[in-house]
Amino acid sequence: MNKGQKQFNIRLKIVFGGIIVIGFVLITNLFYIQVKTGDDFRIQADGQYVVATNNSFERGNIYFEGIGESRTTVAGQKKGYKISINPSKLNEEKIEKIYTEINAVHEIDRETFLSRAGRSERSYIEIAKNISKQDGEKIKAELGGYIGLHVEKWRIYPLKESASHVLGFLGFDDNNVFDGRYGLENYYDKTLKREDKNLYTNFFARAFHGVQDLVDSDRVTEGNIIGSIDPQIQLFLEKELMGIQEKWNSQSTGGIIMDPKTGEIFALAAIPNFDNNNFSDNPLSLFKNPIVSNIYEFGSTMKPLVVAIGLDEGVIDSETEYYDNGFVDVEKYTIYNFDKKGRGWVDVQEILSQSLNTGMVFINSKIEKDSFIKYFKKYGFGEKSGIDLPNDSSGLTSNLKSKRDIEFANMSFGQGIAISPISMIKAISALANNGKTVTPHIIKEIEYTNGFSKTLEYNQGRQVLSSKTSGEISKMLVNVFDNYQNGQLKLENHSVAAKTGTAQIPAPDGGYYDDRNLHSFFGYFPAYDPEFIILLYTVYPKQIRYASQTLIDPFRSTAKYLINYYNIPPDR
Amino acid sequence: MKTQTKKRKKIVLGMLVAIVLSFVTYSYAIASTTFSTSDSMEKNIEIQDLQTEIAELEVDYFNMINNISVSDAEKYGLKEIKLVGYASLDQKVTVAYNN
Repeated sequence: MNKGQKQFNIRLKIVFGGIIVIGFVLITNLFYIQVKTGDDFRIQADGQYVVATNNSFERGNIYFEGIGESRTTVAGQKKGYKISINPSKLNEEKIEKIYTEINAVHEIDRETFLSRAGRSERSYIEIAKNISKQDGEKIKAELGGYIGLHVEKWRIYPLKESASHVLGFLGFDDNNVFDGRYGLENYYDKTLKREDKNLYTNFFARAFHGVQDLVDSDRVTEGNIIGSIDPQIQLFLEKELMGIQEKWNSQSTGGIIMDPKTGEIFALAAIPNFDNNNFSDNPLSLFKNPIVSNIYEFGSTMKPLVVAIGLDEGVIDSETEYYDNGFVDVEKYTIYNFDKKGRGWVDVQEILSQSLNTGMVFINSKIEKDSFIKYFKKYGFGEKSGIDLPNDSSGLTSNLKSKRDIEFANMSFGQGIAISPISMIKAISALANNGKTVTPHIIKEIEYTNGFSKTLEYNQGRQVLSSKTSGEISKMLVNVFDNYQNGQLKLENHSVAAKTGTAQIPAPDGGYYDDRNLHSFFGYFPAYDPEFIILLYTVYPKQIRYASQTLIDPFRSTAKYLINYYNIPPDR
Repeated sequence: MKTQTKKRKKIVLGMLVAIVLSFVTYSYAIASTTFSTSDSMEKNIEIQDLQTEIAELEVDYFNMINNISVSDAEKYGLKEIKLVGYASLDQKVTVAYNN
């Protein structure tokens, strides 16, 4: 064989080898299309598979992780059917039969059904959506070819009304974009959304795209989110809040349970609430989360924050005394105690225990205005709380810029400054957490679709007070709670640091309502190494005056529940 | 000389075969990984859907246990513990077992 012949043979073999490789690739792709995804194409061909245009049926799940790291899906997808009919081929008798059979299994509005079924010029009209698999199959068995059954998926919230403000829901915005509205659905929309996957991608493009996602942890932004809310605690808190709302016929009621050392939220609820699965009949105003977006003047629950400033600055201690006449004049105004009575000589502990406005004005007068402003800003007033929910309010704190003494006097007992409940609990956490605030948050982890997961880290907060001050104020607040109703309400084996607040509600034209109050209550326990901080409030409860009458019992009930649920050992 | 040329040709042929085989193996590995990734994504979606169904049952369970009254529990022979006892150790202890 000559040289040329040999070279030719080699080239032939190379070409032959190349053909084998290409053939292998084509066979593999064919195998994938026919065997792996054959069912999908078959369903498509039969006309029973509908691809949603907005890809709402593929979306990340939201989980809440409870005790023992048990996860509950609180936002997910449900697979079922939607039903269509061909009105152009139906007569009155068939329309009636279809309505009767469907309504027996899945309730539908008769008027709406008849108006749609009567459109004989149409060959396709959807008459029912979000039908469960079992119901769909029952209906199909009864009606057969009279109806079309199409697979669909929709977003479902198993908790129903529970945590409705926290979760939010999906809907169309002003630009006709279907995405998360309110709550975690909105805040984490980019993570939860799934891009439309094209089934007909080029094999090589699909091949390399998929591998890149596997090895690059930052490449994929889609995932599921895991929150710290415990569903059982959430349900319990909501039951307590509902009890307050119904008993006192309040305008609204809310509550937060948080870890004061980390800012993890165990429960966050507001009443009235709504069912995320069926929200269309509710007014828009209901969807705003009042815990995060509404601002209130909290009244006496603000007092410990101011006393702590005085202790931290060294201008007072627990034994500093003041002569209480029942009233005090500031500029041209007179400030009274809640009952307009004087107590004579009282110390700082008594000022807190008896919630004396006059005593607070005295303490405030010892604090330099600049210091007062500095501490209030360090508490986080006037800025967003940092919670991972939309529409986080900065509050109304313009009186901090005032030159007038009366504004500062009012702020010392929690009037003339309005903040959101989440900002309030953030500030109070400084009393419980060795003087340091925390960033409240719900989501603690994201699990990405490529298998990587990320634990979210939050800003550790500011050192507002010294650790010593935190201990001193906690001791005083334990005395406050232990002495409510002559000691009948204290928890024998667990120290609780707590304070009530009854604040007048501002009137829209200026001034305050005479007969409308906001009741608030906070407590943390065990006081000297707290695991929980609870804030409760109720707006405009009827025919009752003080927060001690509306909120202490629900607080005690919630505290006992948490102590039992987490087996918190006694600390005294 | 002739033997050397033959050897070289064998080596060249061997290298060509190795290149082709590597390419085939590499393509197979990539394709296999991609198909597995696709499959796992589909399975994850199925798992998520099942988790949602389980969650619906869990929520019913939570609501049931939250609404049990003390008198209902007592009907089933359960007793409310009003005073929970705790024990604590003030110091480290050691345990020895003598057989």
